[in-house]
Amino acid sequence: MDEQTIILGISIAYLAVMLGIGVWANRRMASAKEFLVAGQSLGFFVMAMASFSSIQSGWGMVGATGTTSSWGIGAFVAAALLPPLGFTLAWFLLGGRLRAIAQRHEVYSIPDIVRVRYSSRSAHFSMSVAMIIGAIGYMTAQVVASGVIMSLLLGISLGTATLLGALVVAAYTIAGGMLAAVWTDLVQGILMIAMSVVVFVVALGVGGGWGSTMATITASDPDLLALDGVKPAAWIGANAIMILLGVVAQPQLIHKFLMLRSSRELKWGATVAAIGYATTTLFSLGVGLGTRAAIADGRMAEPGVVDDTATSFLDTFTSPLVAGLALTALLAAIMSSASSFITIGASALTRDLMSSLGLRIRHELAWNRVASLAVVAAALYVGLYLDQIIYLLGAIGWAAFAAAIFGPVVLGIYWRRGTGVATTVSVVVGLGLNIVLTLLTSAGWTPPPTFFSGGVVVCAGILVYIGVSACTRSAADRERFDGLYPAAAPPGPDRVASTSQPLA
Amino acid sequence: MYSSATGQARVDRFVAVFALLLVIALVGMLTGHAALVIAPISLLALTLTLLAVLGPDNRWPDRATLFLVCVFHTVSIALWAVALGAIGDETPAFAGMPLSTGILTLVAWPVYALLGGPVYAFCAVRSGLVADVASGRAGAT
Repeated sequence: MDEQTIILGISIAYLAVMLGIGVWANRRMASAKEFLVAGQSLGFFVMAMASFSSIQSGWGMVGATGTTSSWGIGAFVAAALLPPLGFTLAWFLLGGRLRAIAQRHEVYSIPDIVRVRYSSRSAHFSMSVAMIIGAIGYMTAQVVASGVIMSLLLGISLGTATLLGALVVAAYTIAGGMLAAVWTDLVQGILMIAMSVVVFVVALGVGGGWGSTMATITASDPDLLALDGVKPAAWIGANAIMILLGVVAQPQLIHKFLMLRSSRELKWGATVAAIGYATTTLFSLGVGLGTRAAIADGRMAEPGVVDDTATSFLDTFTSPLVAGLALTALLAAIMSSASSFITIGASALTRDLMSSLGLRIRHELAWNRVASLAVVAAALYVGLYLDQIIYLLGAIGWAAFAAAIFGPVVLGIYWRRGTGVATTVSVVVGLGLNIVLTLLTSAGWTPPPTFFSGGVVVCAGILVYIGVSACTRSAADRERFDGLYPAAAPPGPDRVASTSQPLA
Repeated sequence: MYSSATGQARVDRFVAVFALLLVIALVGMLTGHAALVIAPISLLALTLTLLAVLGPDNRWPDRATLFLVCVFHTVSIALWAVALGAIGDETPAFAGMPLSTGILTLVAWPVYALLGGPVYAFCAVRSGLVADVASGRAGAT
C-alpha cells in the first residue's frame, strides 16, 4: 500500500467509529435531557476524560504546536503550563456545588445556572447570547483546524476539507447530542494521549535528545528558550492568567459537572483530567521544539504558515502509519471540542434564549438539532471571514467565555452579594471588549508587543462583575442565592467525620 | 456545607483579595510590567482554592485540609517567584534552558499535573466536597 492509502484508511476508520457512536447514541436519545446533559448518567472516568479532551482542542494541539515552534518555550508556558492547575481549581470550585445545584434545580446549561442564581431576565438573556457568540467563536477555530488536517488526511482542497470536517462532527453530534459527544470524547482522549506520547518520543529523537535539542535551539536564538524572549514576559503572563481562569470558566467543562450521576464521582476526576491533558501537551512541546531544532540545523524548511508546523513535521520525520495516526489524533482533539460547542450553542439558541424571552418551544429535541446545524454553519462562515492563525482564533473564544462566565457563575455560587445586574453588565463588557479588540486587530490595529487582549478581557470582565455587584444590591438575588442549594447536607459515605476542630 | 448565607463576610474578603490581585495583573498587562502580571498568578490560585474549601457557614476547613492546600500553593508560589527572579538571565542553567523557563516547564508543570488532583481528592473527602447532598431531585425551579 502507498502512503496516501494507509493514511486514508486510518482516517476513514476513525470517522466511521465516530459516526457509529453517533448512531448508537441516537437510539438512546429520548429527550432534551439526553441531548444536552447525557441523561446525567456519567461516571468519573468518562466524565474526566471527556472534560480534558473537550478542553484540549485544535487550538491546543495544532495552534500551540505552531506557536511553540515560532515563539519558543514561552508559548508553551503561556498556553500549556497552567491547564492542569486549572482543572484542579475547577473541581475545587465547581464540582461539589454544581452537583448540588443540579440536584436541587433543573439545570442543563450555564444560562440555566444563571437563571436559578439570579432574579434577572436580562442576566439570563445576556448569558444565553454570550454562549451563542462564544460557541461560534470557539467552533471557528475548530473548523479552520479541521480543514487543515482533513485536507492532508484525504488529499483534498482546504475548502472542501473544512466543509467535510464540519459536516462529520455535525452529523454525529446532531444524531447523538451530548451523549455521543462524551463517548466520542473518551475514544478521542485515549487516542490523543497515546499519540502524544509516541510523537513526543519521535520528536525528541529528531533533535538528538532533550539536551541536544535545547543546545541547537540556544545556538540558533537564545530568545526561543527565554521567558522574556520572542514574546515579552508580560504577554506570556497575561496569556497564562487567561488560561488559568479560563479553564474553570469553559462551558464544555462546566457542562460535564451537570452530567455526573453522583457527587461521589468527583473524587478522582481532577487527577484523570489534569494528567490526561498534561500528557497531550507533550505533543506541542515535543513537535514545537523538535521542529525548531530541525529548522535551525537545516533538516527542515520553515513552514509557510505557522499552523502547518505539526503537519510539516509529521510529513518530514515520521512513517505514513505514525503520521496517519497522529493526524487522526489531531482531528480527534478538534472534533472533541467541536461536538461540545455544537450542543452548547444549540442549547443556548433554543432552550436558553427562548426561555429568557419568556417563550417555550415545543419539540425541544428537534429544535436542538436544527440549532446545531445553525451553529456549524455560522462557524464555517466566520472561519472564512477571519484571517487569524488558529491559536489567536481559539484565544478569542476562550477569553469570551472566561470573561462572561467566571464572575456570574464561578464567583456567583459562593458570593451572596453577586447580582443579576452585574451579570448582565459583565457579560456585555466582556463580550464587547473582546469583539472590539478582535475587529480592531482585523482592521490593522497593532497593539504594543506586551499587550495580550485575552488577558485584559478576562480580568476586566471579572472585575466589572465584582464592582457592579458591590454597587447594586438586590434582595431578590440574595433570596435566590439562599435557595440555590439543598437545605440540608446529610452525611454520605464519602463524607469523613473530621476529628479536628475548624479553625474559626 | 452549602447553606452558606452565613459567614459571608469571609467570602467578601476573599472576593476583595481576588479583585485586588486582578487589578494588579490588569495594570501590569496595560503597562507591560511583567512582574505585576506574573506575581499574581499563583496567588490567584491560592485565593480561589481557599475560597473553595471553606466549610459550613464559610468557616475555615479542618487543619489537615488547610495544611495540605497551603503546602501545595506555597510550593507553587515559590516556583513562580524563582522564575520571576530569573527573568532576563538567558544562560542555560536547567536542563538546557534558562532557570525561569526550566523551573516552570520541568518542575511546576509536573507538580500541577501530578499532584493537584490528589490534593483535591484528599481535601474533597476531608471537607465533604464529594458528599451526596440529597438522595433525590427536588422540584425544578
